[in-house]
Amino acid sequence: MHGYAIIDYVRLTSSGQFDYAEGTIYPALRQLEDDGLVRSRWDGTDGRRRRVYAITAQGKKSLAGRCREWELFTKGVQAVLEHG
Amino acid sequence: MAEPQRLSDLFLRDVSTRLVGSGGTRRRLLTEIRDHLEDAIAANVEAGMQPALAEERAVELLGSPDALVRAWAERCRRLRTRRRGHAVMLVAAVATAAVLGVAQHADGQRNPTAPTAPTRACLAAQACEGHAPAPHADHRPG
Repeated sequence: MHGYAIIDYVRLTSSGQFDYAEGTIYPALRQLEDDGLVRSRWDGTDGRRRRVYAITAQGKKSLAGRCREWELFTKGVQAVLEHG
Repeated sequence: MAEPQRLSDLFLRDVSTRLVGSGGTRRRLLTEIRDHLEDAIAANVEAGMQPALAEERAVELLGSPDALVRAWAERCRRLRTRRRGHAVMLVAAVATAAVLGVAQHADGQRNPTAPTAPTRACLAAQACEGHAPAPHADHRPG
């Protein structure tokens, strides 16, 4: 998936809730690549050369950990709200 | 008369003069942003916008050049810190290996008759199999 497609996907699936400067996704992707969480290559399958990104095994493991953390956090917030 | 500069080109030129890092990594970032702008403009035109407005909207959504330059500088700073950490670890490993080498060399100089590690292993293996090791020259009864 290339940068623009990632932004488009996030925008559509979040119903426009994530409103950020789109250009900043590229330094963020490069940082993920530096950390070994994604890998990238040039791809020209649709006639245009684009940099495409894919998650690595290390990235999947890190994502699963982040999802667990997020789940615990939201459960905690929900519990506080229900007792408030 | 010169053709007026496109908004996309102005954005890219502004960013390119302020990016830190090596030429190759900067070029890759700028190529990706140019690709992004082309995709966004095409999508906006397809959605019914006039080309000029489509480009204006695409550049607007990209955010300010300052935000992009700052995010890029932060990424480069993190990378430099990590590389420095790796370099320190490498130096420490080489230094440890050198110290061990010097220590072993000094040990060999002090006691040249001391058996080497494989010899010790052979003696231990012989002992396990019930063969008494040959007595060391220094312990031979006089």
